[in-house]
Amino acid sequence: MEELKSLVEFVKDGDDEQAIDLAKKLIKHSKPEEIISSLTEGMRELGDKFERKEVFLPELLIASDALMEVMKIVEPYLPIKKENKKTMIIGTVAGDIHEIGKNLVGVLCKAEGINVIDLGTDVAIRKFIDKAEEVSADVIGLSTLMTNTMKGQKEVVEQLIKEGKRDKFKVIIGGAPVSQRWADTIGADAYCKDAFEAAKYLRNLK
Amino acid sequence: MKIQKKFKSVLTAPLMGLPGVRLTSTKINENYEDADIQFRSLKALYDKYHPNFMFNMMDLSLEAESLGLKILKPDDAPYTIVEHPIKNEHDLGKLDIPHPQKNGRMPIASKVIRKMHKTFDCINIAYIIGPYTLAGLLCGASTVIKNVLKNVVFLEKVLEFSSKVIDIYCNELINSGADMICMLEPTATGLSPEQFKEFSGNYIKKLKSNWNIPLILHICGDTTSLIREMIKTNCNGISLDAMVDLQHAANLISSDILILGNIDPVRVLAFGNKEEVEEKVKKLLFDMKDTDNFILSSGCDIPLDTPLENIEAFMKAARE
Repeated sequence: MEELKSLVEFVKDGDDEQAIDLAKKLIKHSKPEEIISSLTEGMRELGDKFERKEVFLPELLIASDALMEVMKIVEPYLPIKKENKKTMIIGTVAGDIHEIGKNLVGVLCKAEGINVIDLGTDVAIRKFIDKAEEVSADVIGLSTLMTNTMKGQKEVVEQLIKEGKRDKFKVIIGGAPVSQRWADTIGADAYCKDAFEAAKYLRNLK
Repeated sequence: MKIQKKFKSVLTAPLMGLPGVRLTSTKINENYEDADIQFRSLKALYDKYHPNFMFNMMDLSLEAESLGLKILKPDDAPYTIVEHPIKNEHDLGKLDIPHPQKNGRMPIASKVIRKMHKTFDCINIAYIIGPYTLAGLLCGASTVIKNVLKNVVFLEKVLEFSSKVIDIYCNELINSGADMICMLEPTATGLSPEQFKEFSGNYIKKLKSNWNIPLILHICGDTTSLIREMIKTNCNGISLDAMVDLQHAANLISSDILILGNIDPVRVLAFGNKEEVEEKVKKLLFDMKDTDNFILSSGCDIPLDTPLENIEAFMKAARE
């Protein structure tokens, strides 16, 4: 379908105005699941280009903004399938107010059909754990950009262990200064080097 | 800058200020707000470790505060900017270029540099923010990253303004006795080489042409793809983070440009043990043994709660 292809291209190019106009038209005669699935596929292609260093952070950010706008239009038309939906709590750890990476993870995971609850930035350990329990989250996603706040990720895992709740949630971490080794050190379930890897992790989670 | 060959052992330039706060049992905010306290903490580090290069305390909120931005000031962590109020040219027009002897904490940093210049028998380096990073604090980081594609005209205006602020402050630091400037440009880390050149590198190059002392450029993260553009700024050295392969970097640049790096400040220095620190430093020194322009440093700022014995191990391994 040509129009759907165009929509995906507008989103990938970060052309939010054209994407919004076309999405409003398309939703009247297309299945919302088809739109979402094409968009997700398009974003994965963009992710591959990012991996190959053919596109960079500015291209990703404007595409994810456009994706978010289109999601707002399409989401109300999606049938509600709560039982199978996975839930992820996401936030930037205490002391750190950076949110670019976390927001990208949120948008891409939403497009994968994940119920994403974004706690924002500078999130206290207690808040992560309490919210995860309250909504029976499957995954807790911890983001940080600064070397001085990385330890916040470690502290969340430690607190979960201390309270005997470590097995209740998968903990995934990300952020510029962290690595697989850091995930191993602190006992996180996964390190995701970018938002696309996080989306893939959630997609493949049994 | 062929300074390395004069020395028998490798030169050391750990990006270290915060651990000094612990040596003097003070609070981070006391060190940011009082030049005498900050200098005491730096002197404690200098006396204990004697690195070849000393930096003042890293502080990415200083220039933004002098422009009146709202700052979160915890007593036990570095400051952060809470609001990024510049949304358009009208907002930008309301900002005044700060007076470096009057506004915010610029006079405090200058005083620290004067004291370092008088007291430390080493190369004293003053930190300054990069133009793209300051633009990011003014407008919001995600805004300036998107504006690379969405609103170039406004972004360029903010970068020109940021450059003016940086130039004026830097000249004050030079007059205060800084031997070198280390520019911190972390927000540029996600840009393509071409985007970096257009929205950061060209501005840095212009600034550098106004300054008569050497410039080290530090960008956090994996900057491998930016190295070629970083050195086109005419900087005299680059400081690279822990995820960059320094041997590869050394192959990309000429021997008259210093390479500072890149022991992992968190995984190795803050959370490793002293044996691990020693092993990593020795491995890096071995890898870089043929690189005369190499200076041993940390990949980024060394965190506050880094065990002091790890810093000791870092310095000891370098001297052996």
